[in-house]
Amino acid sequence: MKIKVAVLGLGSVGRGILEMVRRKPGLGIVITAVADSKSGIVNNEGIDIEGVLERKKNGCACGDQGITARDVVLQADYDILVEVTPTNADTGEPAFSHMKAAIERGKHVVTSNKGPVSRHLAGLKKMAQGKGVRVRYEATVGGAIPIMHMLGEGLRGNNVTALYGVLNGTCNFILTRMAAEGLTYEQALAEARELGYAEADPTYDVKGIDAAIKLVILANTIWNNQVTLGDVDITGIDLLTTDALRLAEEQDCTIRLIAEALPEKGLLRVSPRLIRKDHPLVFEGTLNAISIQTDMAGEITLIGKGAGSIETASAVIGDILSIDL
Amino acid sequence: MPTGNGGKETIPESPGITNEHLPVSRPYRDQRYKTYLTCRATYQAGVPVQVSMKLEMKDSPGQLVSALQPISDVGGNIIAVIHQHELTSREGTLGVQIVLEIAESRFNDLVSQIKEKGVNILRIGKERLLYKQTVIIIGHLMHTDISDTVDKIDCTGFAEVTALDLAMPAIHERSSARLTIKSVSINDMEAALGILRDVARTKNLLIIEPLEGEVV
Repeated sequence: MKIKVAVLGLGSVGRGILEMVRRKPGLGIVITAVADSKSGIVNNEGIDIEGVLERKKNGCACGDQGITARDVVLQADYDILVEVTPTNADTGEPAFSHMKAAIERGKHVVTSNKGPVSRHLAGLKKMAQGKGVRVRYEATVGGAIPIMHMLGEGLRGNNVTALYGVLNGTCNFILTRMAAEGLTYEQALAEARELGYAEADPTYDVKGIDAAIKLVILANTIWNNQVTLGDVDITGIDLLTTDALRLAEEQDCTIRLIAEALPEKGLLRVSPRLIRKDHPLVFEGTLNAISIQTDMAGEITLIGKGAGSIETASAVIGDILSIDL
Repeated sequence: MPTGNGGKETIPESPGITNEHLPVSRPYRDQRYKTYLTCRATYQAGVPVQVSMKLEMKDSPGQLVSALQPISDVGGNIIAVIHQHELTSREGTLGVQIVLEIAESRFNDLVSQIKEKGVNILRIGKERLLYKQTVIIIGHLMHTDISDTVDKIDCTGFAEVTALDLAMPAIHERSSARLTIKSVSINDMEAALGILRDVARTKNLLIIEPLEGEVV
């Protein structure tokens, strides 16, 4: 049996998913509908993926301008809604409404969208439970790193006592370059932009907000403690100096933007920390890592690609295939 | 202190607490500091002194408890006990460093009682700041009076800044400093860092600390 999937959002992640579904027919996934911000296309037998990707490449709308994302959610034939539109961290909309509408129809939801998940996780899960469907969001945190699968399956029965993470690749890249080459923060940021690692407006990354949103998602997933972005003590990397990194280096240390959660101490924090260079959370470039401490399994650290079209598609496809239809 | 471009100055490890010029006029909310003042008043009256001892004993069950027993027997107060692996040089021995407070008049009794327990006293000294932590601070460090920042910790009596490495790129730019702080106990370190965080907040400095629970 084929898994019927509707995809909302044809940015880097959406296109990566389509590309992988096209290249890997063995996955058993058929895309029955897609929608971008301007148009939509529906075909219960499976849309023409190549045509959609070609049109997107040429900067055109993906399909029929008379079909909206909402039409797809409410009318298309699918088992799983894949919501990969751009994140709105303030309201989580319109993604949140799309997800609710899909759940209401008894459809499963898989998303990479941090906004609605960080704000409404408990509500979404409750709604989904009521309808007997699943909400999966592996791709919201740590890109390709299968942290949610690890927590939900392999580490079942463990109590997680602490979590430390490098959750923003842009910051890790900037800090790596400041330490390795003695670049100023501004120079390293400019380099990150040139390489496409930083947005034109890097505020969310460098101020630690992106990492904090991911920390909120992880904390709510692990401890179900309904924390919000406002509960996180956030300090960014934008005020760091090259001298500070050099002073750290002289002690065999460096500085990294670390997200920390220790529920026992009520600690939920994203901040630049002084950290020994041989610590597992110290690595170069845009990678992400999540290290958790558990009562039975001890300490486990996962390191992997935190962003990228195909890498994030890996997390989304993993979620799709893990849902029992 | 040089304030020129690229200037870097290292202030060497300070020799120890002098206990002079306590800034009683700076009322810290911190309870530890109040406790310190009380202790210090008692000390000035000639009663307890704070000492550290390095002990070596047989590494067998009950030895440590037995070695520490005389301290309470003579009315002393244990402040910190630290296992020191580097002290454990000989096979089957356990090295510990302890910091305690004791009435000066009872000190000789204590030493003989510990020896009676078969515990070897390797060293008795005033080196009471056994916990070390490093932090980096960034901001207008000179303009906000770095010596006052350091003094806020030094004057507590339970912690001091023992090394300061300062890097000043240009007069109006923010400078960076690495502070090594030593304290009597872990709780004292937390209290000292708490003071530093308060100072940083008022002086608009950024503190880069190690991860929760880690020492660098």
